[in-house]
Amino acid sequence: MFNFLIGCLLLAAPAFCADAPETAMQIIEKADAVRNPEQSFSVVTALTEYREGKETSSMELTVYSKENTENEQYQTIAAFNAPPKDKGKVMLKNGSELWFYDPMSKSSVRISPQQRLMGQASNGDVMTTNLHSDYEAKLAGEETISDINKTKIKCHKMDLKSSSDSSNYYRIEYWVDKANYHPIKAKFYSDSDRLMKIVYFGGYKTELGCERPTETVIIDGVDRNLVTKMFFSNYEYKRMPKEWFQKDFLPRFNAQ
Amino acid sequence: MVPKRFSAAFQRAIAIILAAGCFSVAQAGQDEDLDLIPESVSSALLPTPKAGKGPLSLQLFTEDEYQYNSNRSVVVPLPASYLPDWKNRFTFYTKADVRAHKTLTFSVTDRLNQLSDSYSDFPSGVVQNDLNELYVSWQAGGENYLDAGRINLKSGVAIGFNPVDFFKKDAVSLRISEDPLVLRDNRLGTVMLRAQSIQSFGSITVAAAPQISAPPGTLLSDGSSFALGLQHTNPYPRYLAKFNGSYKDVNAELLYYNENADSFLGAAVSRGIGDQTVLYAEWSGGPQYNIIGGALVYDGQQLGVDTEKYVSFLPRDYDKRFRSQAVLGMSFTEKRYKRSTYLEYHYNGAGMDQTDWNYWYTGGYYASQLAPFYDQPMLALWSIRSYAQRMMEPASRHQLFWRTQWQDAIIPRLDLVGLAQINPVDGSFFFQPMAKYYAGDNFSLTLTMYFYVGKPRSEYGSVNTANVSKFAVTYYI
Repeated sequence: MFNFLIGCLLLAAPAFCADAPETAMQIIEKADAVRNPEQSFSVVTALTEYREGKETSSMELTVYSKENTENEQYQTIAAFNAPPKDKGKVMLKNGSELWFYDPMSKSSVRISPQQRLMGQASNGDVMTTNLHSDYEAKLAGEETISDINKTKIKCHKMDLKSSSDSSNYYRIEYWVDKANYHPIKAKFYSDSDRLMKIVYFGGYKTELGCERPTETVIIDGVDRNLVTKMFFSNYEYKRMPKEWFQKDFLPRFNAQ
Repeated sequence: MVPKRFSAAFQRAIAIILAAGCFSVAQAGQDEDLDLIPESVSSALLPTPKAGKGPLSLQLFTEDEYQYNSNRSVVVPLPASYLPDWKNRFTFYTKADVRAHKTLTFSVTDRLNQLSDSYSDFPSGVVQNDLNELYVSWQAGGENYLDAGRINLKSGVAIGFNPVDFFKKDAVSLRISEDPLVLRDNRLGTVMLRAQSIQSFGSITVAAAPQISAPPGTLLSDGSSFALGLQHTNPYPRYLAKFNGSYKDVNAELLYYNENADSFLGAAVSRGIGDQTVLYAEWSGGPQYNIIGGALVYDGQQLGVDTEKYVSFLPRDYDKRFRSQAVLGMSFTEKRYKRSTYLEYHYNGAGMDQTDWNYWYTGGYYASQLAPFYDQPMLALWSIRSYAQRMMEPASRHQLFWRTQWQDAIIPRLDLVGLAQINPVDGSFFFQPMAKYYAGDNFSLTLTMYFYVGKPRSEYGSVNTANVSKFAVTYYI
């Protein structure tokens, strides 16, 4: 009888685990997995900037990302495809080491994290950030909010606080769909608690075996008239040797 | 009086209404953010991807730049024929990479220039073609490469002066700007064989550039508009070996360079501090002339000038001995204003000190008395300064450098750049403000000014041009 009871408990255990409330970090990890494929990959990112609803500039990048197994952060190379004046330029981010390569001068300039964030290209790899490795998360409850298509979505509301030197924002408010862990919305704040960006994720489609956002709208927190729309297409798994993510490889990059 | 049983139900109803009210207020707060997205953004569709997958990668642009010079009388004047009132340059730029095979790439970079000035009949002028690069690259397995041809091999991490960028010497054939970042874009490569191995711990590069005999008046040197200028880039045998690697947040480059049997060492280091600042330093050292001796040798060898005729007018320190060149710099970014500032101190052990400068002014004054009949001594004095420019190094022993770039300044798509080179000993300086407006994805307008400011007997106060105004139109194809 005792063995029978133990057997029943063991059989029931997975059910208990499944029903156990998830921790905030587990939710963040699952939401990260929605945005980021599990292997190294490339994605074409088209960005258009609007001011007061009028298109002011556009650019296209191919972003190559590979997770660094040591710190779970993404190493990225952003190659500029357009506009013509920027074609061939390459930006490397490997931890806090950042380089910008210009094919016209054939030289690489070391830049600071803030310098990288000045340009639109920083929005290009905002997607490939593992929030769970850079932030402490706290579950702040449930909220039903409208997604980018104005559809009501029941969400986990998360409060994230920076726990690493390499994080670009001090805190983040993050809404994740309760049903499928799709990121719906995020608000990014600076260390002076100034709202820097409001981001809406949408256009979920199956890419590399999982439903992933293919559209993102970023509203500038300081200048609310400034809105950037990003489209993600041509997702591809790509082999990226470690050697790629250093300064001297950039002149060799040439959109591999 | 409300009955008790109604009272409980009433309270519950009130609580539900209040809770719903609070919920809808919170929700409305979040939904207000959606109202910030204009309809034009919501309805925008995926643009046609521009990423090319073909074997050809091509970059083209055309640029026309008009320059007006405001000249002045100075203590060591140049003959008027060297000082046109205006210049015009039309450039057609081509950069192409052709991947002929998975492991084989051909690269070419070329600038075709049409130049005219106030001494030529516009629009005839002269045509000068600069074949900046032409080489083939072979990927020999893994990230190991072998390159052969005319290659722009650059080294260093600083902005205003790169002591370890050994192949910069005499490589700028057309000085289209005083901004070091622009000059970097515009130099000739060196004919060389280069091998590079990029490993996970860093990269190792070795290069060998032969001496190429380029007799004057031939296609190899300066014999036509399409001449290759190899007398500037391959005047003697040169070899380079360098290692680049990172440890934690420090990136280091270590170099050994051999030029005509003289050995040089070099190092460049950079490190990020916080998220706004990058610190960097460069150093190189080896046996070399100071710029006065170097200019004499250069004038004799490259220009075929009989230096003995005017050697007595020049300050004396012609010894070839160990001299250092160094840079200490930092960059600082203000993301909120989209502004980046670079500050550097430049040390040139081969540059002129104040005694040399005094000799230069005094010698120049006496030379100017002879000038109507005999202008060689004055030209010799100016050749020292132009030699420093050719070698891409400061003419003075000490120099301070400042450059600020402000993106989307005042209005969107307007970039402002301020640049200054300061002689801290005599207080004179060169200041270059620049405004660049991108009038679309393919089109930019640039207004640049130069100001040379200082006492008559100072490095920048003694420049023949008081200020320069330039206007350029660039079309990216």
